[in-house]
Amino acid sequence: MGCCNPIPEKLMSMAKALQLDHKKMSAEVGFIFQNPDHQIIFPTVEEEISFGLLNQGFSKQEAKARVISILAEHHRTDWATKAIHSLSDGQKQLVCILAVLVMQPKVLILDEPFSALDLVTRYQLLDLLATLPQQIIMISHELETLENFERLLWLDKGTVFRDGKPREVLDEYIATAREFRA
Amino acid sequence: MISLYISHPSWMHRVPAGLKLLSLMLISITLFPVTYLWGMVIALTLTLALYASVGKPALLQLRLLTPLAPLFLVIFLMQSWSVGWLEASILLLRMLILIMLANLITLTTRMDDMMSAITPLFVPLRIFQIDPKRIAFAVTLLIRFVPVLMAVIQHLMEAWRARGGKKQIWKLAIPLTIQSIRLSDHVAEALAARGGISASPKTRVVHDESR
Repeated sequence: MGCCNPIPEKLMSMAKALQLDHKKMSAEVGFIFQNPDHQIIFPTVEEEISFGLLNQGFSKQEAKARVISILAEHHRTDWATKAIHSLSDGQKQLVCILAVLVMQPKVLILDEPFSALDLVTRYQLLDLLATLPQQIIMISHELETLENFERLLWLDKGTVFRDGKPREVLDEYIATAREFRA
Repeated sequence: MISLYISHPSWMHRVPAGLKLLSLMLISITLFPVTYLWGMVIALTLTLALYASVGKPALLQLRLLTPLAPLFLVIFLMQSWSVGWLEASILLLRMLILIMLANLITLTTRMDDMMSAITPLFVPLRIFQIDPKRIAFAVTLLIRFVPVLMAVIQHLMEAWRARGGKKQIWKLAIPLTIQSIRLSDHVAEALAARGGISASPKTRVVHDESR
C-alpha cells in the first residue's frame, strides 16, 4: 500500500533552489547532523556559534553579542571560551543546535540527533526542542522520541509507507517488525 | 573533533595572533645563525619556560612531539655522518625549538584570530579576483585539521592491530585516503549548512529581524 512520492514537486524545486544558495538555505533551514563531530569546525564554542552569523553578514561585535545572549538564554554563559573537544557528546550536540538556532531558521531538520547520547541528555534536548518556535523535522529510529510529534511519516524503500498520528504509525511499525523477526 | 586549543586562559591567549606569528618569524631568523650548542640549549630552556608559563595543559601537550623521534633520529644519523654530531645536534635543536614554538601558537590561538591575522597576507590575490579571506580560511582549516587527521591515523592503527595486523602498515594508506576525503566532505557539508564561507561584505544578506 505504498502511497505517493514523499517529496512534492513544489518542495523539490524549492530545495533545489536553496541548494544552489547556501546563504539562503541556512536562513530557511537549519540542519543538525547525526554526529556532532561532523558539524563542528572551530576549536571554541564562541567561534562555532558565531560562524553562521558572520556568514549572514553580521559584524564581529554583533555576532559575539548574539552568541553571548543565546548562551545566556540556555544558561551556558561559561561555555563561550571553552574548547569544544572538552565538552561531552550531549553538550557538543547542544552547541550544534545553538549554532544553528542562532541563525534563526524557519525549519529545523535533525538527522538521528540523539543516537550517541544517554537517555537523560536525550530528554533534556527534547525538552529544549519542544520550546522552540521553529517547525521541527526529525529523522529517527528511536520510537519513543517520535511519540510526541504531530505527524509521523514511515519511509520505506524511498516512498512514504505510512503517514499519520505517531501512535498509530508506531503501533503498526512495531507489529510489522515483530512479524519480520521470524 | 579533536583540536589542540587550550581553553584554560593564559597570557599567551591574550597576545594578538599577528604578533605571535611575527615573533615566531623573528625568532627563527635569530636562531638561524646561532652555531653554538649552548646557545640552542638556552633557547630550548626559554621555550620550555614559555610552555610552563602557559600552564600544565601546555606542558602536557609536549608529548605530541614523541612521533617526531624516529624522524629526528634519521636526520641525526645522516647529519652526523655528513657534518658531525655537534652540527647535527644544533640543527635538530633549532628544528625542535621552532616546532615547539609554532605548536604553542596553535595551542593558544583561536581559529578566528588566526584567520584575521593571516588574511592581509593574501590581499594581493585580489588582483586575480580571489577573495583573500577564502584562502586564509583554507590555510587555517588545514592547520586545524592536522590533529584530526592524526586521530584518524591513530584509530586506523588501532583497528589494524586489534585484528592482528602486522608490519605492513603502508596498507592503511588507502583507508586513510578514503577517510580523509570523507572528512573533507563532512566539513564541506558543515560549512554549507551554515551558509558557506562568508565572502566580502558586499554580499551581505538582509536579515529578517521580525521572525
